[in-house]
Amino acid sequence: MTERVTKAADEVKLIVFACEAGMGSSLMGANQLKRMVKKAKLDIAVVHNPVGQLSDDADVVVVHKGLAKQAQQKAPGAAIVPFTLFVNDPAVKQLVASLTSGDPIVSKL
Amino acid sequence: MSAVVDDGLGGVLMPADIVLGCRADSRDEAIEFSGSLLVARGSVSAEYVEGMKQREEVVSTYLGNGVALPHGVLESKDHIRSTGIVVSQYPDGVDWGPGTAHLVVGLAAVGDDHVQVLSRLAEVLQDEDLCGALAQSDDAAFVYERLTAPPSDD
Repeated sequence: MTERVTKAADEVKLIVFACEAGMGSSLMGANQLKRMVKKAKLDIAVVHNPVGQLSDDADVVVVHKGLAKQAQQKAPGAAIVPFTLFVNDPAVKQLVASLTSGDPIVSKL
Repeated sequence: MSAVVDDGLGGVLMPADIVLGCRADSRDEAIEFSGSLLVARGSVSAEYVEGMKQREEVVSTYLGNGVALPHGVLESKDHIRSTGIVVSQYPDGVDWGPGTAHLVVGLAAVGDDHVQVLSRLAEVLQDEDLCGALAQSDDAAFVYERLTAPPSDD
């Protein structure tokens, strides 16, 4: 059992929203998250990518729970935030809340 | 209503790509219909439709508020000829697994031509009342207009 990746809030500069093809769902998710990050006035980049093309430059990877293990293998240094709902998922809201209040982001895997 | 000549969307979603009042007994049937629309508009070859079905087995494309966004798996991208978006409306709904889909947005995308429409769709999704109206509307011009309104900048 290895330690879970933990990122201090001010370490988070890049959030990658990942899905299978990087075509539709992750774009939708990334757009929503961008909006939330902007509203919270956080200086964090949000991009979207297919899970197979993740790299370790991501600080946080937001990914559907069905693809979370694959995401962790591709980006072992990132905190993984799995979600189940593409709209208004509590895990995504919590992520933005933690970043806003300066709480560390702990990987769920 | 005058014909839209240049909608600024690069032709990825045209009024003719919206089909209201559809019925399907299953998710796969609805995906096959969306796929056939994408084939008919020349965006994909028939193989892509299989990729759309496969994708649902990996992670469902049900987004919430009655909207699903079926599209192919990564490897089916080879079967895309040009970016296209097709919208089929199911007033009675289709069981999509995590939820009941009323608005099925079939997507095939290469490059970033689809970003503007999906950004708008992300906004529509946040609006439960609007999603409900789009699910039942019999006015294709209204549906097209709501789905293609420029994304707000707030």
